[in-house]
Amino acid sequence: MLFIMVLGLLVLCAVVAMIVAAFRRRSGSDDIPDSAVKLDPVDVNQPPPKPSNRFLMWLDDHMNPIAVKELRQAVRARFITGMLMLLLGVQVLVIMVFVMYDDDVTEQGGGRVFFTLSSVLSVISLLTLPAYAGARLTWERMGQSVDLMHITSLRPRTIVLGKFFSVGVVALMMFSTCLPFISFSYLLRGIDLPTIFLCMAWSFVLTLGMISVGVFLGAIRGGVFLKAVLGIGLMVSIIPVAMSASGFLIQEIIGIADFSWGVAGTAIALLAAATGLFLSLAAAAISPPVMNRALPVRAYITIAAAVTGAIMYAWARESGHCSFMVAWAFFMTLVLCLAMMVSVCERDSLPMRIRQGIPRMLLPRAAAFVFFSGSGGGMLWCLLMAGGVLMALLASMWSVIRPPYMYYSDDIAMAYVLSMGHVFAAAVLGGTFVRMVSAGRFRSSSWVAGLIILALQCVIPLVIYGVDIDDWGPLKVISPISLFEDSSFSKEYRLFVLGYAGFAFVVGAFQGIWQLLRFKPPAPPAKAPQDVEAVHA
Amino acid sequence: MRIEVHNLTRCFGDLRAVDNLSFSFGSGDIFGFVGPNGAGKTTTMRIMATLDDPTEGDVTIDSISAVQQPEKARQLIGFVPDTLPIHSDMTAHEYLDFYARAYGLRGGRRIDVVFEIEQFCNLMGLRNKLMKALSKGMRQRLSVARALVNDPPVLVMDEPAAGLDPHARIELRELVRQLAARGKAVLISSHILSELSEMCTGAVIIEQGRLLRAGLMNELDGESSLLIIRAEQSQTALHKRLLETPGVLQAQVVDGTVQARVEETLDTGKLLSGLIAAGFTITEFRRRKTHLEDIFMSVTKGKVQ
Repeated sequence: MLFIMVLGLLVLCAVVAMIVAAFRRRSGSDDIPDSAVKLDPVDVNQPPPKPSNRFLMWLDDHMNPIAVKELRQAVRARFITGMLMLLLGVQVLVIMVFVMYDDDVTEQGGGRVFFTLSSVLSVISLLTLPAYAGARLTWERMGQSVDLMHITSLRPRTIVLGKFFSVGVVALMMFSTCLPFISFSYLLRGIDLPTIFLCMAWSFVLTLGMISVGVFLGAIRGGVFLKAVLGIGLMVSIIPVAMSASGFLIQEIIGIADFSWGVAGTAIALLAAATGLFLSLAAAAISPPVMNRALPVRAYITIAAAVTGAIMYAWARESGHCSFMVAWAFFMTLVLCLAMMVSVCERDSLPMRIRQGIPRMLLPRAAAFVFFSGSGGGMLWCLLMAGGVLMALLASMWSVIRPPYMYYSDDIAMAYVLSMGHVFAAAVLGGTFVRMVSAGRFRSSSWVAGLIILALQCVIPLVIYGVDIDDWGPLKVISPISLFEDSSFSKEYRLFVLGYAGFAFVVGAFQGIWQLLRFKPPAPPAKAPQDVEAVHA
Repeated sequence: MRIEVHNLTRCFGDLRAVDNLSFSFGSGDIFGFVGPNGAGKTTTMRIMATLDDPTEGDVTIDSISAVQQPEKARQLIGFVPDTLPIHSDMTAHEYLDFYARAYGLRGGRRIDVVFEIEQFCNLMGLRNKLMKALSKGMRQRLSVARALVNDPPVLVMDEPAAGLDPHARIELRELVRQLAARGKAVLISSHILSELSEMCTGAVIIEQGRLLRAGLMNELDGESSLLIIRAEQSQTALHKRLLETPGVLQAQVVDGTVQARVEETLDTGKLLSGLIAAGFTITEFRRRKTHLEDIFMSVTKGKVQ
């Protein structure tokens, strides 16, 4: 274990050194005098050769331009070359150490070697590839590259998918580089080839998921420091969960006779949904403000929620217990809470170009309201989705558990409603407060006010009465923490949260109705001025 | 091809960055876009390039609206930012090839287009150089080449000469002239007014988001022109005499000459003979070509810059 930790530390140091070197090299490339650039001797009239293979030409034409660009750059990037060399070196070193110093390695030692090698690969790929993807996109966001891409035929989703695909190819290259070494563990016995390949496939899928996080971080607006802090925060919170899920899955895979497709399928479905979510968020973040950024995200979440919900429901029916549905509802709750915080930060009025996409007919326009940028539509969409998730959860429990065990589903449903109520109220009231105080100027920071309200609700009883929830008395009702401790959800607690959320609902409804009334397509363009030249005088 | 900016307004909160701006220019024109920092030049150019949305108003390119049909408008406009974003691991050729792909050019046509642009922008010797190894002037030529990939009839250039050395400026100026000669409509913003004067056929002058004056250079000069007069005698006497002459709007002594702004209708022959008859020995008497600096100083009353 100590060996792995030391190795990990060394690898981390090497990676940080490479990143710093790459950034230094980039920042010092300005002000080259003309005389310092030697021109290549070329025949300016010599037309370039054209590829003769029509299939390759067709393939070349239909590849994502961003992926082509990124892969060309990756081929030259010293960071990638360094990473691969480092990875190869570490793999060779690990095998050498095992062969030289582990006396039992030839007797069922394959499992240990495999575990060490795959851990090294996973840690390196989970840390470096998302950082690489994020750093590249951040760098382009800091210049005007993304703006220049927006005035071409490229769509934001093409940009994001191209970035994701290209780093995915780099990941594939890293995994294929290590596969021969990892397969070597099979010769040492103690592990079979299907297990090796399944574990590697899972690690690869997990890496792709983390790359989507890196692409998302690169796409959002903000400085390098903010992104680094966010990235570290996300890594610290996601990687342990992902690694423990991996450990659990690997145990499932190694005991292949008892392999549960339900567990593996749930994990893969949620991972795929999360990857898609981060990519759709990245596409929204990279879109210019004149586009309807909410559409890809809300459409994706709605479709993904429906698809994953249907899969979970089928597994719940198949297995006879609702844990899959509960996992899905928990995941959706998390997503919708974040969506609420984001929705209250959105603008109240839409730019002209977005308004042009608003349907003219009343009913389609009302339906489209929830898929357009804007705080009112966003909050309404969150509420509709939360209601849908609750209904699906209850419906699955009714059909799977059936009475007399229904009290279980009641508790989960109530916990869901109360937690969403807390977040909704804090988000709406925080957003309204910020809009009123700053006259809409700090609207985009409304989520901070929402979080502060939630934090105050948690902290006030703690500060006044201490950590023991039983001592909190009447203040127990205001704290979301009580939700986890008081599983009976006392009548007072329910009344407070429902009243609190109800008040926020009325406040939010006023803003939503105001926005809905203004949600109209622009009037047809007025006739152009007849003599624009007149202004010249 | 005619580019018309109609009553363009862009507000950021309470700030009106662009305020009811209207002007137009056409194929073969090189229009200088002039104004102090924060006047709204970049905002206007970003709206023209469909990167931003106006609060009110529109930009049309032969009746295609940049607001209502941004996808179509994008095909007609090439945008050159003030600095070329560096992709350190890419060659100049790969950079152009990427944008050709991004504009949807395929197969042999893409290869041909990139080759022609490299020839036109004098980039053949640089095509295999990494972008980080190019000088600023070369990068700016590459930036112009990128904007030409989809062969747009309109080019919007935001401070392309900023930070360039004199040699690179001359190269860029020639490139812009050649583009105009090929029928492109060029809108170019710059703080270097003398540079713009050399190549522009017209100008748009704005301040605090509002239009001060726009049109072709001869129109901008309005109803006056500038005479440079040098006499062997005291310039002060000549200055005094000119100020007393009907039709002379303004006169000042500059570098041993008297510069007089006179009404366009003034008969300069009569003015010259009048000065000679008054005893002045005139050694220089010429009408100066309109300089953008003069127009700018005149319309801004010299308050800015």
